[in-house]
Amino acid sequence: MVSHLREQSDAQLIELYQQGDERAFREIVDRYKNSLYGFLRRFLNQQDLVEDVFQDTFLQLFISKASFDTNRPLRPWLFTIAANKAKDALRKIQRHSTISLGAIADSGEATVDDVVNILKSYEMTPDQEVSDDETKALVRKIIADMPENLKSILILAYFEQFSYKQMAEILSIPIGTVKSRLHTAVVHFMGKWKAINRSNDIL
Amino acid sequence: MNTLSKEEKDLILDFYFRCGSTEKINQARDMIASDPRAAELYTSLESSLKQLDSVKYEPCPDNLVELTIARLKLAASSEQARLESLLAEEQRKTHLENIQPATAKRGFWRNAAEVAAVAAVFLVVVLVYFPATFSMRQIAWRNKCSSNLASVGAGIAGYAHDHDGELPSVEMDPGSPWWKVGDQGTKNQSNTRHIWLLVKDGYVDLNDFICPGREDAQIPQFDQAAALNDFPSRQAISYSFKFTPNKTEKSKVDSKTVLLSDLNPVFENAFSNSDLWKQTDEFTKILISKQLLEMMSTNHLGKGQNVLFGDGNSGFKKTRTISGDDIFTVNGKTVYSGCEVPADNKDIFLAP
Repeated sequence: MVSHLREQSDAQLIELYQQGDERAFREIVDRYKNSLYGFLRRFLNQQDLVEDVFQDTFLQLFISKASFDTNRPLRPWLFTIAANKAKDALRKIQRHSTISLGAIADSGEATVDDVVNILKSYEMTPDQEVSDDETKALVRKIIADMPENLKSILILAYFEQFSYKQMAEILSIPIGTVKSRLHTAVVHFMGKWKAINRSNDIL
Repeated sequence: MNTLSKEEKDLILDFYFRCGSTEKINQARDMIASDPRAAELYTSLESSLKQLDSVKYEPCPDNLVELTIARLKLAASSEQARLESLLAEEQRKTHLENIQPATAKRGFWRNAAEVAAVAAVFLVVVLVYFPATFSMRQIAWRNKCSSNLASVGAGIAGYAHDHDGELPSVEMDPGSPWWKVGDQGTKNQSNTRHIWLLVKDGYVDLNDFICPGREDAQIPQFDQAAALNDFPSRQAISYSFKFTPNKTEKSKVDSKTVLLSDLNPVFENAFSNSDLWKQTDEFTKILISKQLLEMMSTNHLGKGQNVLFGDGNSGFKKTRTISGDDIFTVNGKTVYSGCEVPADNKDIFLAP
């Protein structure tokens, strides 16, 4: 039966779930648990928040199951819910904390030329001899410190490989904004990476 | 690399992020294969952003999946219970409609009437219940206040027993003020100093001098009562005590003698703010008006006051005239400057 469920499409699983088959729900969770968990880990960087939002996302599916349109792709829908709930969770924490956990970037939007320029300057930076662990820690820190709107687009584009159209739906922004924001996110990441490498070089 | 047009750069970037139409993806792929500048840009992007790959997270833990499933089951069972309850309610309504004769068709006005009926019932409940609870609270406060006075009465009796039948009293110079509650100086200038002895010597708890009906009452938190000469402030005592001008002057105390009552309303505004009188050291002269003569203590919304009699009994009185004597004024006095004394031994004057 389990293998039978594994062969079902998302829409079929939703229909089965709408008919009361709870195993279909488990299959949906199994199908998307790792990508959703990875997205939340990168986006929230706080285990308790990750777990709360992870559960809330699937609970939202339970709440919406009766009205869920099976013609609608499930994966972007889940990420839309997760992204919104994650943003809400961050805002709640920010309200109770004096530490900024990821402000919205207020700098201007970057163009493709800005991306090319930062790549060019990156090429001129001498290669750094940093260990894998160091690299991992640095990259994690850069992502964690990234403004919320840039972080979400970078994760969705790079790690989850959503299309521009899907990202526009998930983040409720126009496609043009998705592109320029992604460029800004790349420029931001590369800028920080370069700055850290440069300071390491000086040290 | 920078000689590529903006559109071409866009194409490569879109291709890198696997975004764009199939046509554009194919176009980009061809360009990377044929144009070294495009290939260079793509390689540069790849090598720069590959750092992001170093951040790999472990897969979703099993216990999180189990927790999620458990939450879902809980939500589903709650939803099921709610649905069953709604169904039962709907069935009950249908049953009632079936056994009742058909009436006018259900519509807006029918629903509006039902809503109005519910609202009316709710309003009636609020109107009846709220004053009732308010009134019950008032009665409870009166009873507690009366019980406070009984405790003070027991304390006075204990004090008198230990002091040859004398009531708690301190020496006051003739013509001294009786209203400087909270003044800790050496001169006795407040009528509350007499009963402060009950607190100081441990006959009565400080809390028993607070009427629960007063919102401005403050129970002071301290454990050095012995170091004080008076109540710490006006807010620490909600009662007025029988004025005894001279310690040596012993008056006869019997079951008709009022020893203590809820706060005297006549002088309440004259010195209620102790910070103010400490600055000015002045008593606002009071000219007795008809209104002041009719006022009851404000401790219980002006509806009356609890009084403590010489025999230890206490009770709520809706009048301030006890045995023909107004307990809140000095007989025959119409102007008060804060230094009055009772007209005679029979004149009860509760102050301040």
